[in-house]
Parts: sequence; structure tokens; C-alpha cells
Amino acid sequence: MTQLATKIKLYAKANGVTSINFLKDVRLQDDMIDGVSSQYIKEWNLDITKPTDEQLATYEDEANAEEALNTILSNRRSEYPNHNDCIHALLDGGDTLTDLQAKRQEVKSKYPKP
Amino acid sequence: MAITTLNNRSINRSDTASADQVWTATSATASDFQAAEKNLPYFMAQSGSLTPSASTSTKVPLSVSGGLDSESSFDETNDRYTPQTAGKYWIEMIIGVTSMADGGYAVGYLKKNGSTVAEHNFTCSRPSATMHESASFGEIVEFNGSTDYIELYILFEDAWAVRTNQTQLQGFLISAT
Repeated sequence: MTQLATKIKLYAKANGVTSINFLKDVRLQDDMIDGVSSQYIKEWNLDITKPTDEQLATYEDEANAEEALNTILSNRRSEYPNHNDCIHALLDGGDTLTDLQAKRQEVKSKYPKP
Repeated sequence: MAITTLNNRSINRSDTASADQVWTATSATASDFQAAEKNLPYFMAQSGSLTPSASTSTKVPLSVSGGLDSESSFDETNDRYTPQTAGKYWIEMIIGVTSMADGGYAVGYLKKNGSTVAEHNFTCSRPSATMHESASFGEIVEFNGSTDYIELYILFEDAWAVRTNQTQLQGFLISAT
């Protein structure tokens, strides 16, 4: 089951809206009734028509793929060498840079894109 | 408990309370002066595990721990506090986020009877890394002492997990109506 926010982003993009502020444009809520997640659209302030549940359901597969990719990218970010290491490697060059590139490639191989 | 002496002398009805005490006369008899504890009722409830959906304002499941609910007014079924003493309360939320991404944001909401009465937004700022973040803030909220209730909602930009037991809703009476 994908996240409602992901499906709404895809629906909006398909209708010409490339950026959504989820604190203003669209507000989603989950009241966790009996401890069970039940997301819904609390407020819809975009100019495009608010989607129906059926319309959002058509984005399920695409949303799954996007969330899987986001997980890969997030995992990579958390294990890549940090900015300081990158700056040092770029300035030092030579083996330092080669080693850093090897570390980055190692992380990419650990979390391959589909 | 009836208080009859203070600093080794008898209490008279004309005595006034010191800075951190409240005295209440329940009759014309000096021995019926009552010591009343301040800041009652109080409560503290903590979250269990929760990973809210990204960008979704989500009610936090909470449970009281260690008996920190002085008048048993926290409803663990509906995750809300409904104080039975009317007045103004200091209500505070503590939000803990696990592995928050650099530049990401989180928002905490205090909702009274379903409507937001306070919200607080904070961000993570640690280049090229994720980290555990937490923030707290409070608000004075007035309750009618019967039906008014308060709930804690959170919104995380991405599907990060709540830090178990480090996300809390707590409060105490500061002024009875």
C-alpha cells in the first residue's frame, strides 16, 4: 500500500502541477482510529480538481515504483561519504579521490536502482 | 489533610499562603484550614512505535506511564486527554524523530476538540547525514472540565519513525476557572 502523498504528487504532476506544499496546498490527515492508519484529504487548495479515490488508485503501481526508488536514494545518502570528505578528496586528488569514488561506487552497488 | 500549625505556631484564618502554598478554609474553625496541592491535575503520556505516512498529519497513539495521570483522565483508546477540572492548563508536546534527513521538516500540532490550537515546525540541519532530532513546545489551553479534550498530531515530511517514548504529551493545571 503506497502513501497517499505519493499518489497525490503523481496525480498533480499528470495535471500540470509539479510542486505541492503539504502544509498549505493539500493537507492530509490520519486519525489512527483504533490504532489503524486511515489517511484522507483534509483540505484541498490546489486549482486542479480534487481527485477521487478511484483516480488515485490508478497511480498505485507508479507510486510503488517511486517509493522504492526513494528508499534506495535515501539509503545511499545515509551511507555516502559526507561533504567534508568529498571536499578533501577533491582538493587532495590522487589516491584520496580514487578511494572516495570507490566508496561511493560500493554504496551504489549495495543499493542498485531497478 | 488538615493543617493546624505552621512554623510551630497555630494557624489563624487571617493567615495568608506563602508563595508556593494555597490555604483553603473549609469552615470557621481554624483547624479546618486545608493545604491544597498546586498544579493538580497533571498527566504525561508517551508514544509507542509509529511511522506516520509522509506529509500526513497523524494522531500519535499515546499511553500514560508510571501512573502520571493524577485524575485518570487520559483516554488510551482515543489517545486524548479530557481533564475533569475546569481551568487553564500548560500543555506541552515533545516530538522525537528518528533518522530525519538533512533539510527535512517536522510539525507538531496540539488539537483541542479536533481543531488546531498550536503548531510548531522544526527542521533538521546536518549536511549529508541523517540524525535523531527532537523539539518541544507548549501552550496555555483552557478546558471546560467535562468534554474538552486535547490530542497530539505530528506531520513528518518523509516517512521517518517517531522516537518511541521520547515523543510525549504532558500538562498540568495552572489556574482553575
